[in-house]
Amino acid sequence: MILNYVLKNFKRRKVRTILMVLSLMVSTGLIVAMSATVETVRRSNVDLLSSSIGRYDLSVTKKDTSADPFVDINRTAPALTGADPLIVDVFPRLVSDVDLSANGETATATMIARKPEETVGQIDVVSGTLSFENNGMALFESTAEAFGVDIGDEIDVAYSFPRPRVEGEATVVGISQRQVVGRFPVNAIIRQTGVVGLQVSDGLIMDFDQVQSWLGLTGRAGSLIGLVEPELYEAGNAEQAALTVREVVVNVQNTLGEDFNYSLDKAAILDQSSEAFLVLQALINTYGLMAFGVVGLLIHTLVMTNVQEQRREMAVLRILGSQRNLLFAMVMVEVAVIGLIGVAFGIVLGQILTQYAVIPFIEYQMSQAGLNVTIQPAVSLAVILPAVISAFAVLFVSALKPAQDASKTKVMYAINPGVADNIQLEDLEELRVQRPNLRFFVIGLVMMFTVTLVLGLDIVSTLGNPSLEATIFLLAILLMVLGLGLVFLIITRPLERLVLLITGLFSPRLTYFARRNVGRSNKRNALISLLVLFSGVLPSFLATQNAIDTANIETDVKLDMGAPIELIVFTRFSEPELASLDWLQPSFLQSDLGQVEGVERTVGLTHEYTAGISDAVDMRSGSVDLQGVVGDLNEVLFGEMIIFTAGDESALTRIQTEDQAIIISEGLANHLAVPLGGTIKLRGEGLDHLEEFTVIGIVRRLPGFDNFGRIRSQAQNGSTAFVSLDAFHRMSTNPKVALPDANDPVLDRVLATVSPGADVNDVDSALRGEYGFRNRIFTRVAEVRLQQAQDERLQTQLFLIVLTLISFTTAVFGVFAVIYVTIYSRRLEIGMMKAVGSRKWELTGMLIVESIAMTVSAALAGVVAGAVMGYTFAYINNVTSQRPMIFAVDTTVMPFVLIMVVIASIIGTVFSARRIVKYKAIEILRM
Amino acid sequence: MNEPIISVDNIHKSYLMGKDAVPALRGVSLDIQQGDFVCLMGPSGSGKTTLLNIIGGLDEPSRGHIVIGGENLVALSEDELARLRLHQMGFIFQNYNLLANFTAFENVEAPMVLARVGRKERKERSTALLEKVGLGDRGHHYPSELSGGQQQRVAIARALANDPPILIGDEMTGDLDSETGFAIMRLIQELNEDGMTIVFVTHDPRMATFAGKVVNLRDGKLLNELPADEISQMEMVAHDS
Ligand SMILES: Nc1ncnc2c1ncn2[C@@H]1O[C@H](COP(=O)(O)OP(=O)(O)OP(=O)(O)O)[C@@H](O)[C@H]1O
Ligand SMILES: [Mg+2]
Repeated sequence: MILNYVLKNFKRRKVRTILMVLSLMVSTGLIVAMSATVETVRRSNVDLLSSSIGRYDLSVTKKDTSADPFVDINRTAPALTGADPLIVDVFPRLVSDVDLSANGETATATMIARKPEETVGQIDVVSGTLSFENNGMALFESTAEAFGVDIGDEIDVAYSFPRPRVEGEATVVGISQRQVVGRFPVNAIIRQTGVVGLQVSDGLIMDFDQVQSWLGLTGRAGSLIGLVEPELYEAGNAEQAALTVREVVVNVQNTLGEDFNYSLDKAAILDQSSEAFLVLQALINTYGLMAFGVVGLLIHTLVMTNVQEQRREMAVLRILGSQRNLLFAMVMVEVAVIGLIGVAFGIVLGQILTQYAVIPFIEYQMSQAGLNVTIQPAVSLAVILPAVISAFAVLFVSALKPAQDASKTKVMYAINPGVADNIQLEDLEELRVQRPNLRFFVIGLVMMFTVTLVLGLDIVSTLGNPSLEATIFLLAILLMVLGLGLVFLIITRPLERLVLLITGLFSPRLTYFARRNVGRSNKRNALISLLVLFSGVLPSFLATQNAIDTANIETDVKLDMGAPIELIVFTRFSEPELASLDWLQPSFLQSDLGQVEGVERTVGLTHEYTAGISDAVDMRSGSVDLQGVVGDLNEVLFGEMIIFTAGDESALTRIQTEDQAIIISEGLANHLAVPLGGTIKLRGEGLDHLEEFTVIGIVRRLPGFDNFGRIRSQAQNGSTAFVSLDAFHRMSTNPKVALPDANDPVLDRVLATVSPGADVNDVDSALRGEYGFRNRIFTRVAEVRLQQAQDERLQTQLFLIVLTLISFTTAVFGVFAVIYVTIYSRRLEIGMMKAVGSRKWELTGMLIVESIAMTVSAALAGVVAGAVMGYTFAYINNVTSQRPMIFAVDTTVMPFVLIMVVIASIIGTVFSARRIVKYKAIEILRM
Repeated sequence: MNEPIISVDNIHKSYLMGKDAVPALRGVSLDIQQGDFVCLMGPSGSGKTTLLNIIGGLDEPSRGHIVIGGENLVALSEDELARLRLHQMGFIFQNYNLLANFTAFENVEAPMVLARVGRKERKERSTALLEKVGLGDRGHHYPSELSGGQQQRVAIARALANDPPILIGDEMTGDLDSETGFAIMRLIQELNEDGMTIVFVTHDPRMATFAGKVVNLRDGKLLNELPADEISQMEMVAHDS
C-alpha cells in the first residue's frame, strides 16, 4: 500500500521527481567517473611513471671503480634471477654515450644495445622496419631529424671504452681512451616510450649480440635489468610496492656483493608519486562530499515541500487511523525509490563518462606529452561502492526531517486547515529580519579561524600519515571555502539590491515585485544563495590565481631570466678544478656566442665564489656569493626591473673596471649597516686573505638574480655581490698560488640581447643548433619562453572552465529545484496576481527577475570571495618572494559563471512557471 | 433606463469531468445597472461562484454573451481580459489572498504598479485608500500581522486601487465573525453609496440585507425563472437551516 501511494505521488509530481532523480544521477555519475579515473590512472601509473625513466624495475651495473666495468652475464644473470622469487625476467644491456657522425655533423647520443626479445618499453616505428639485419640500427626520430638521415643511410658510431676510476680520485677527462668506430645502416626510425628514460632524446637502439661481437665483449654486458612480478603494483599501494622492490634489491645485493651498483629508479619515483595520488583521492572525496551535500539540500527541500503539500491528506489518513510510523515510512520509501533509480542511472552515467570522455582525454594528454599508453578503464565495485554508500547516507539524512515532520502531522490540518496553515510566529520573525544573517557571518569567521589555526600551526604535518594529512588539508580548504562563503553571504544583500537596481532600469514594474519577494523571503533565499555561492568560490579562486599568473608571466620570465637570451652551464663536477672543464672562457662571449646570428650584446658571469664579508671593523659579518662581471650588464638586463636602493645603474657599468668596488644587496647592506661609499672587508681563498672594497651600489632588485634582495635574514648568508673579473680572480685564488689567466674558463652563465629585427624563433633554434649538442649548455630565449608559458596558460584556462562546468552542474540543479519550489509554493499569489490583471509574460518576467537577482548576487558574492582568497594568496606569495605583482581580474571564468547562472535562472524559471502561468486565475485559486 | 453596466445574456457553463459535462449554469440572463448593489444567493453548488467569475472576467461562458461597459467579454483575448480586470474590476476573496511578502501599503499599491501609475500618485492613493478602510496606521504591517477583518479591509483597499467601477466579492465575509462581517459590509455599502457597482455572493441572509437587490440561483438558473413549486421547496430548505 505504501509503494502504491508513493508511485501515485511520483505521477502527480513528475517534475519534482525527475529533478531529484536527475540530480542524484548526475552527482553519482560524476563521482563514479572521477573515482574511476583516479583508479584507472593509478593502475596505469606504474606504466606512465616508469615511461619517464625506463620501464624496468631494477638495474645492476658495475661500480666505476671496479677493475672490470662490465658485468659477467653467465655468472651474474642466474644469481640475479635466483636472488628473489619476485624477479621474473633478467635482460643484459649495454647503454652508453656514443659519438655519432653523419652528413658532416657530429653529436653525442645514447646507444641502447638490447636483446630483441626484451619486452621493456614500447617502440613505435615511424618509418622503415624494426629489424637489426645487416648490423642495422633503429634511430630515434629526433636524432634522425637532427642529422637529416633517412632509412638506408649509414651512420658512424664511435664507442669509447670506460676506464676504471681510481678509488678516491676523480675521473680524468680528455686523456685518450680506447675508441672503436663502426658504420651501421639505419633500418628504422622510431619513437620510444619506456625503453629508456624520457631525458634521452637522442639515441639509437641496436641488437645486443651484434654490439657484443662488434666491441668484442663476449659474455659481458654493461648492465643487467630486472623485472619483478607485475602484480606487485596491482595491489594499489605504490608505497608498499616500492618498499617490496627495495626488499628484492637488498636480497640481490646480498647475493651479488659489493662490486655492483643497484638502481631502483622506478620504485623511487613510484614512492614519490604515491603521495600525489593520495592527495588526488582526497580531493575527489572532498568534492564528492560537497556535491552530495548540495544534492542532499536539494532533496531535503523538495521532499519537505511534498510533505507540506500532502499535509491535509496525511491528516485525513491519521483520522482514518493510520499510525505515525506509516507516514514516516511513506516519506522514506519515496526517497529510497528515488535513490535507487537515481544512483543506478548515475553508475551507468559514470561508466559512460569514464569510458568515452575521461579516458580518451587522458590518452590525448599523454600523447601530447610524448607518452603512448593505452589505458584500461577500471570501474570496479571498489570504485562504485563508496559513491553508492555516501549517496544513500546523504539521502537518508536529508529525508529524515521531512519524514519526521510527516509523522507528526496533526489531525487539525484536516479539520481546520486555515488555522494550521496560517503563518507561524517564527516565520513572521524571519520575514522581519531584513538585515543579512549575522549568525552565518560569525559561523563563517569561526570556520576560517579554525582553518588558519590548523594550517598556521602546522599541526597537520605532525600526524606523519600522508593520506591523513592530505585529507585533513583538503578538509581544511573545504572548511575555508565554506567559511569564506558564509562570511561573504553577507554581501549578497547589497549585491541583490545592485542587481535589482540594474534590472529596474530596464523594467521598473517587474523589478517592483521581484524586489519585495527577493528581499523578504529569507529561507529559500539563503539556501539558493549558499548553493550558488559555494559553487562559485573555488573556480573563481583558481581563475584569479591563473589571471594573476598570466598577467605576471612577462614579469616572471623577465625576473627569472634577466635578459632576452640566457645561457647556463651545467657542470658535471663540484670541484672547481674539474668544473673548469665545463665552464666557458671570457673569449667565448665575442668569438663564439657573438658570432651567432641574431645575438647582439653579451655579458658573462663567473661561477659563484662564497667569500666571508664583514664591516670594516669586523663587528658584523656574514658570507656572500661573489660573481665577477664580464661586460656591461646595463646593455643586456631588462632595465625597467632594476631597483637600486642607493647608487644607480651606472654602478653596473663601472664594476667591470673599478677594481676595489663591490655591488651588494639591500639586505646585506642593512645587515652590515654600511652605506653607499662605505667600506667592507672580504675574506677570500686561503689564509689571511683580506681585502677592502668600496660599496658603489646597493641593489633591491636585479632581474635574473634572485639573491639580490631586501630581506636581511636571508642576505646574511648567501646574497649575491658583483665585483670585477680581476677582483673575482684575486679573491677566489689562494694568494700562495699564481693568479689564473684572464681568459681561463670561469663563466657559468651568459646573458645576451637579440639584435633588433632578428626573429626570436630563428635565434632560439640557432642557439640550440649551435649549443644543443654540446652537452651542458642550456639556452633560453625570453620571448620564446613567454610564448610557451602563454600557451600553457590557455590550457589551464580551458581546464578551469571544465572544472567550473562540473562544479556548477550540481548548483544548476539546486537553482532549478529552489526556483521550482518557490514558484510552486507561491501559486496562490500568482493566481491572485492574475486575477488582479497581470499578464502571463509579466508574471514570468517578475519571476525571472526575482531568480536572477537571487542567483546572480550569490554568484557575484562567490566570485568576490574566491577572488579575495586568490588575491590574498598571491599577495602573500609575492611578498615572501619579493616580486612585484600586477593585480589582474579574471575575464573568462567569472563571466562564464555569471552567464551560466543567468541562463540557469531563466530556464529554471520559465520551465517551472510555464504550467502555473498558463492556468486561469480561478483554476490556480481553487488548487 | 440607462444602458446596464453589466449585461449577462443567456449564459451557459458546463465543466468537463472526464467525459461528462457537468452543467453549472443553464441559461442565466441578468442586467446590472451602474450603482447597483447585487447579492447572489443560493444553495451550495447552485452556480454562484461560477456566475461571479464569469462576470469578473476570470472565466468564460460555454455559451451566451456578457457585456461589461460596452465590451463583449467573449470576444476578448486573455491579455485584454487581464487589462479589463485591472481597470474595471476590484476583487475581494473569501481568504483575502494578500501578497505575503508585501506590506499592507504595498499590497494596495501593487495593482497601480501593474497599471503603470506614477510613484507619487501611487503613494497618495494607497495612503488615502488605507485611510478610507480605517487602516491608516497599519500600512507598514505584513498581512500575517493583521487580523482577518483587517486583512479583508486591505483587500478592499487593494480592490479599489485603480478606481474600478465594479467591485466583485465571493463570500468575502465567510471567514469572519458576524460583527466584523457587518463592519466590512458597512464599508462596502459606503462605497456603493459613492456610486460603485457591487456584485457579491453570500450564504448569510443577514449580509444579504445590505444589498439593494438579491438574485437567487438554483441549479444553475435564476430562481424567478423556475417553476413555483420548486421555489417553495427551496424556501423550506432555507428555513430548516
Ligand atoms: N472546476 C470545476 N470542475 C468541475 N465542476 C465544477 C468546477 N467548478 C464548479 N463545478 C461545478 O459547478 C457547479 C457550480 O459550482 P459553483 O462553485 O459555482 O457553486 P456555488 O454556488 O459557488 O457553491 P458554494 O456555495 O458551495 O460555493 C457545482 O455543481 C460544481 O460541482
Ligand atoms: Mg462558491
